[in-house]
Formats: sequence, structure tokens, C-alpha cells
Amino acid sequence: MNNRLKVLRAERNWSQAELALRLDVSRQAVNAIETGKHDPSLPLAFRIARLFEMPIEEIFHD
Amino acid sequence: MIDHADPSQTPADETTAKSRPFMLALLCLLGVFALGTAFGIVGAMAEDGVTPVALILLAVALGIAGTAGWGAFRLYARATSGPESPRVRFSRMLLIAGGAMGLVMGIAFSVASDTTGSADLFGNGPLPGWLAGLTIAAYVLVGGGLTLAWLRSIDEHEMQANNAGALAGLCTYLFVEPSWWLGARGGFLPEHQPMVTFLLVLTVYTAVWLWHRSR
Repeated sequence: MNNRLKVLRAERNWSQAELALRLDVSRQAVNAIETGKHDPSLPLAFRIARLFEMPIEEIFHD
Repeated sequence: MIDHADPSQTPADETTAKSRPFMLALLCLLGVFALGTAFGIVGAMAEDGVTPVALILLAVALGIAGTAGWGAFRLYARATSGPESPRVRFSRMLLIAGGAMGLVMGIAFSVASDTTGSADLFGNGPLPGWLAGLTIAAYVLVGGGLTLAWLRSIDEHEMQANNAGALAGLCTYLFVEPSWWLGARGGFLPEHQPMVTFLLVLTVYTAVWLWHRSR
């Protein structure tokens, strides 16, 4: 699954560690999601969507 | 993958970050091996007397252990320099506590081996009852508690890596254990050593877990 997480993070000038802190996950988890090696669960996808104040489908797409 | 959005991250940093868990594991193994060697040399000196060669070997072993420990500490400090959520920090502390428990158990066995002469961790010989009981209590109660707490504290990415490692470890056990058992009964494999199987499963589990965690 593709996503715009890296772009959205860059727009806010957050590091991976800062985003991980806001999502309560490890930096490795953020990196794995950004690179498409880990598809987040639905609860985490909702947390990401709430953090960026966007619908899930605008962040994640297949 | 280069993190273009993070201006502080260069390709060299990324390579370092990817190889960091393996380097950390390697340095820890080297440190434990060097410490074990140092304990062995001290034991030999207690039996055979202190010789200049033994002292030099002891200094080299302690030097390697110290260097590996310092290198591991530097790598760990670099890996945890960014902001972290309390949950991530807690799960890492539990991992460190688990490693410390293993180290304490190893040292206890080493000391007991010197005093009783029969507490070989990887052998099948009899053990003093108190040592076996204490070790089981520590392993099951403390180790089990730490494991449960760690499993409840990790995030979903870590859990996925852990599950992949656990599955690889289980498959290793399912194929190695019966094969060795049958081969030993058939007379073409050495006597079955449960701790060797345990270490093999643990190694496969850890390698796959770390690989999934860092890829």
C-alpha cells in the first residue's frame, strides 16, 4: 500500500522520531510505514489521519 | 531508503541506522564471549596458578569486553538520541532488563560451576537442587513477567517483527528437534542436547526479529 506520510511529515518539518512520538510508536515503525514495508492497522491509520487532519484515503491508497 | 524529509539524515546515516541493530547484537555477543573467556582464564589461574601468559590473556579478554561494551553503549546512545514516547522507552528498558537477567543467570552459573564443579549450563549432568530451583524461579517468574510486559508494551510494527521471528523459531524447532531425536536413536547423530536446540531456536528467532525490525 502506498502512502503520503513522508510528504505530509516533510510539510510540517517533522523528523521521523517526532512523528513517532506523536503517534506513540517507534521511529522504526514510522520508517517502515513510509517505505511501504509495513501496512498500519486500522486503529493506527485512524491515529495518523487524525494527526494530519485528513481522511484516511487521502493519506493511504493502493 | 533515504529520508529526504529529514535534513539531518544523510545516506551514510541511513546505512548506519540499518546496520545498527546487527552491530549492537554483534558487539553484545563479542562482549559476553570475551567476559566468558575472562572468567575461564580466572578459573584456570585459580587452579594452575598465575602466569604472565594468563595475565596477558586476561588483559586482552577484558580489553575486548570493555571495548565491545563501550561500542555497544555508544551505538545505543546514538539510536535513542531522538524524542521517544514513554511506551517505546519502556519496552526498550524491559529488553535491557531481560538481557541483564540473562547475564546475571550466566554469571551465577559460572560462579556455581567453580564452587560445585557440576553446574555446566550447556551440559546434561545433575545440578544442585537449589541452583536449579532458583534458576527456574528466575527464568519463569522474572523472565515470564518481563516477556508479558514487553509484549503488551511494543507497537504493532515491533509485534509484527516479533511474530515473524517467533514463527521462524517455531519452524526451526519443529524440524530440528524430531530430526535430531530420530538421528540420535538411529545412531548417526550425537546424543540429543536440548540446550543446543534452545540456543539454535533463540538465534533464529532473534536474527529474524532484528531483520524484520530494521529492514
